Amino acid sequence: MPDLPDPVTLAIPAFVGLIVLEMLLVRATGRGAYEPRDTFTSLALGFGSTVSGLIFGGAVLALGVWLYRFRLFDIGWSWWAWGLCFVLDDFAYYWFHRTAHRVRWFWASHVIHHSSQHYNLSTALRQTWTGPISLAFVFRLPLFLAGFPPAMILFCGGLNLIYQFWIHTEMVDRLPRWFEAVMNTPSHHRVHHATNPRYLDANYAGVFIVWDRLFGSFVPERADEPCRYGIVRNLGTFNPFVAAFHEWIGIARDLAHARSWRERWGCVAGPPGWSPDGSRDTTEIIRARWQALGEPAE
Amino acid sequence: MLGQLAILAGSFIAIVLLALLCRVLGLGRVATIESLAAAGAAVRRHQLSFTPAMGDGQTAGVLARDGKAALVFGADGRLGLVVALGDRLVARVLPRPPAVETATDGLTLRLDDITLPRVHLALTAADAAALTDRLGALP
Repeated sequence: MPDLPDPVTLAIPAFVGLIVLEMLLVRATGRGAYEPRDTFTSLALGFGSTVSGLIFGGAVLALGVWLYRFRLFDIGWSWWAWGLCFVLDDFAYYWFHRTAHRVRWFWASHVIHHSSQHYNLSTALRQTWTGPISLAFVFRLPLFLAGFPPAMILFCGGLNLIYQFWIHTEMVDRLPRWFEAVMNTPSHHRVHHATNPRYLDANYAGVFIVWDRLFGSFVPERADEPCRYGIVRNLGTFNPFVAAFHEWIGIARDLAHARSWRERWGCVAGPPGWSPDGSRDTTEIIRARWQALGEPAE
Repeated sequence: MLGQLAILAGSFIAIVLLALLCRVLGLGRVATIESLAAAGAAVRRHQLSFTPAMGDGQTAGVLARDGKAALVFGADGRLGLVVALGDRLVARVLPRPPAVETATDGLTLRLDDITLPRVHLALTAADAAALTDRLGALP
């Protein structure tokens, strides 16, 4: 088994350089936005995510390697295996990501990434601290069982993450039509980070936007409706610890007040915003209100 | 292990330098709430079910003197809150009137919200007293 490097670690200098370049472009053009404290929070959350990966990553990898012992096929290291692994890893990412927006347990971990009201390259590094706790890795386990070498799966996952870095920008408008049709792009991903009712819960793709087109979750960006970034209930603080844990604390508080198993289940497995008395807003409630008003552009 | 520690240390230094560069470049203007109408619109953007109450042709509520926060009364009796955070605004529709404490230059609202636990409203003493009375009279 080849000893592959971690592509994300190798890409860190490029991440830093591109953030500097984007800051200079924002300064020069006035397009896009940075806020020093928001940027610090994003980068601090990225740093914490790296620490979390060092703590929990070994256990997750050990589970994958253990599952690999029971693999269905010996896929090996041929060139087509790399391509297939990359595509299937992205397919697994799509379903993880969709679940992360539709099930509060997974959202509690993923919300970190959406907790900024800005959309720039530093936002891309605003990564979860609690992914292993939410068991987000289970979506990737079938690849180990299928028989892709663990090192190949991890490498492809790293490449997927690197691809997703550059799409977190307002500097790039639209790319050639063929590219927008197949690949995830800054335009598609801006929609994903937007809280406008029209854009909520859309464009879950990592690399290939075709998954959203296939499974009915694609929404195009509209020139007449700029994206409003963040979460439905934006944070009132730049504290990275609040960003990292607030939804988990919310789940714990709701569980403490739940009066039945149905309510407890809803608090954990319901969509974000679900509440027993309907006093909070899910995507469906927000969108229904917006549709009742005639779907106005913001 | 040493390699990982070096990466962490380098990342931390890069974080501090990038945040400093962002400040040196003067990125991120400070947001201010221009008017109560703007505050009402911000709350409505946050929650479409919120309609600001109108009084004498104006949005009913209180705008802090520094433009950093505003409390908007809703047509249905609910309260909307808007706070400046960096160059953005954060809005809430409050399920119940907040606890109010008198501060040296206004009021401090205490919310049951870990992501926005307290909000300072810079007000004159007279405005602070009037708002305290009005909030105290809410059910």
